[in-house]
Amino acid sequence: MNDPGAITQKLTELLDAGGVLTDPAQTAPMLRDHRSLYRGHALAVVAPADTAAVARVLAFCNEQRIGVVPQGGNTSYCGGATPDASSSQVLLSLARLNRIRGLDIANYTMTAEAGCILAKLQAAATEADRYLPLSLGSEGSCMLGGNLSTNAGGLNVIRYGMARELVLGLEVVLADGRVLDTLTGLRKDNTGYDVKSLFLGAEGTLGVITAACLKLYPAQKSRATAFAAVRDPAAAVSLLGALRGASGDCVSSFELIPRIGVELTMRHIPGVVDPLAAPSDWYVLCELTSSRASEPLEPLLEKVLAEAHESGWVLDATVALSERERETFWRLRESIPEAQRKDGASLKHDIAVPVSQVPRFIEVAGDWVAKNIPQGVLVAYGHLGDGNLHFNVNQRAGTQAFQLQAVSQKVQRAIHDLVREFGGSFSAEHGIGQLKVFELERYAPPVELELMRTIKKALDPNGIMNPGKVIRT
Amino acid sequence: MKTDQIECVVIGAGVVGLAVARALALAGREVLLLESEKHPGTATSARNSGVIHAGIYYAPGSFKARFCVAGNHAMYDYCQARGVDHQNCGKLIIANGAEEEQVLGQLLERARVNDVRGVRLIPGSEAHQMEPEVHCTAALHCPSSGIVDPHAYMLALQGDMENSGGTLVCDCRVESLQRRADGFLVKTAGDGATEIEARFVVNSGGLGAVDLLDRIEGYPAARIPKLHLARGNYFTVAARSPFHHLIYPIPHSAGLGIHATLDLGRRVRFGPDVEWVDRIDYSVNASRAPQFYQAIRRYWPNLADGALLPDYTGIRPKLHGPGEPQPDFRIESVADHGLAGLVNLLGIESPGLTSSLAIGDYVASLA
Repeated sequence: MNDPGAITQKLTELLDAGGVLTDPAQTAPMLRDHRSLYRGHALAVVAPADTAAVARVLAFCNEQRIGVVPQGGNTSYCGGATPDASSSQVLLSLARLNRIRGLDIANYTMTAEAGCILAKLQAAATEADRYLPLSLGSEGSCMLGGNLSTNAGGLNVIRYGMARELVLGLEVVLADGRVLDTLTGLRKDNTGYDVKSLFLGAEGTLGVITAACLKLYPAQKSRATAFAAVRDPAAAVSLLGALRGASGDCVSSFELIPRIGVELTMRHIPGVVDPLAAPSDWYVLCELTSSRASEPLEPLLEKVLAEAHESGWVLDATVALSERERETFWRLRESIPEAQRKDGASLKHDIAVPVSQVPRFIEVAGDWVAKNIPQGVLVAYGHLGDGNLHFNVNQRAGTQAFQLQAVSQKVQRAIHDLVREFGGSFSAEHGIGQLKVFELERYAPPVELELMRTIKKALDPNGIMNPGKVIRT
Repeated sequence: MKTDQIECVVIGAGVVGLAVARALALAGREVLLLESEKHPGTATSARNSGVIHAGIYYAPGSFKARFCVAGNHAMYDYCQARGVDHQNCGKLIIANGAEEEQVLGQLLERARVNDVRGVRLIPGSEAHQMEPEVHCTAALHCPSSGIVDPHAYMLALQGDMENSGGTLVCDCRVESLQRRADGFLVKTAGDGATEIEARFVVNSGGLGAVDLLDRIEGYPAARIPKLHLARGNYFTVAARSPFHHLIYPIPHSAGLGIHATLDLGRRVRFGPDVEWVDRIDYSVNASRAPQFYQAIRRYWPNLADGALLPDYTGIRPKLHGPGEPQPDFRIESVADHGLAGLVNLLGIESPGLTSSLAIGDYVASLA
């Protein structure tokens, strides 16, 4: 069956009304990625209503050797959910699988479908006096299936881990339409290979996640937030260690911010003020949280900061006295990307190195940028607690954007090579998608690549699952 | 967002875009060359026969005839001067039978009109001495045909451009062109999106050039042609080339026939055929092997069964469909479309590589 009309007809027969989307106004935004890096064309865009319907689509596409590109909220940073331009792949939207199937308060678990928007799941947990720690910038539009398929990170990784660590079980439709169901909600289950793990971070190249059973935690009841000027990144790492120890691991966020980050946000974002009196080269924004309502987090935070001041790590610090003040700290941190965008062109790198190596990495990579890229300025900030840096090079004032863009590949190669020397990752929390397929081939150890290809061939022998993403076979 | 300002923007860093940007930079213009892929010259420029054509086939006075002949001379001089690997190996266009020999006569006449020097009609016996493996009853010998390493050539062009102050930006897709009082505002796509004001813009987008027309403010919609994609499949054989010249059959309506070209490593490849496709897919259609055996054995009877191996493909951006005559390069400027400061290079397929330096000089003269 090669005729697109016949294939669409067959898909229509397999699905309910509304299962095949044909209105270009509806499908056009689904065929380009969030960053406008890619524009795809699809043979058909389908939105099955339940797992059985997803299974019928995959069984049919597998039999016909038609590529299938799963999509959730379409917020990939790497083009992972955009089909290629060949009009030969089926775009499979999970948006209609949007039910919370169950919330087990005593078991501290929630079972939800792939098309649920993350913020909706967080709200449902909060309503049940529980806490779903997965939290990221796009939580108002990204969907659970994509979060799990990309093993998303976000703001609470230091304490709760990446998305993978929040998953107890999955329901997955395999390439041939069979359904794997591990939605048991068990915390202990040592019965052979942990097959569900294969699908977390696989970006839909091995199967389609249709539902998941997630771990919940006690609701957050108290919180303390500080903004501190630190001597340098090494002092920030020392402060992180001290805080984790003193708080009984209550540190939920620990963000490193350079002076230029403060300056850019003050220049471009209305309402951002410098929280401290004197300028400093480096800052941290740290937050402690606890599920105990009466936990004395603020005095503890103040005590650790005072000791760090005596050690020379902290130059000055301020603890948020109100929710409003806390919001201004976070507003500064969260608006750095927008401020960068307003300031000019920027070359971005989402990298991770071991936390202990972050200071040395910033020093070495920063020197390289200073020596080799006169048209750029380093803006390195990020989740220090996870060793995850947004290592960006911004357009220097007085230069033109293209002068920086002309060296983008040279900069990327140098930084990623250096990341490898530091035992780090060139893609910390955004995945591979189609953007970084060649980077993966360049940097992954050969044995690991070979294993990935072996797994891919075993689970998707016809190569229909999200073709061209993550790994070439 | 800030707006960059630059005198000239060239869209598409294929071999022609590079040559245009180089010519502009050498003329003292400020040039920015934008490429949507991660590297220059990865599409049509990387997927061709690597042949320096003589300029025989094309309608006298056409862009193709003028630029191919001028580009041929310029290419040899340039490769010599810049140390770009090339070889002036010459070519035989071969005929089998009276009907095809008659076409050779017409081609010889056209070579004369197009000012292609040194072309001779030779009998089958002489051709056999030059190429013992080739079967023919007569042939045209074109001494000015040759081969070049397209990647080394493009690297040299890029070097010239950059040495003259031009800048290449890869991974940068052009979203749209908006009219300004003096030139255009070029908007790029992606999260590195920028806006660039330019007085002179050259659309050298190759396979994407026609698609871009739709996103140029003020471009007459009625002028937008339909783009046809013609894939050319190449096959190779595992052995060293049995030939010393390029071997071409008599040309047909959409291509030059399944010919034998050499590369600088003395490998031979056969192709390209013409396969009309509706999307860009560079996989080799191996099911076309029987047609290749048939076509090649007309001039190389010793081709063994099973010897052909699928090699690679390229896709030509064509302005004509199946059965329609091949049009000229469509190089249009203000007189054609009414937009000052815009040059479109459309339907640049063969002999685009050979013509590149001549096209570059021509477009630079319009700036």
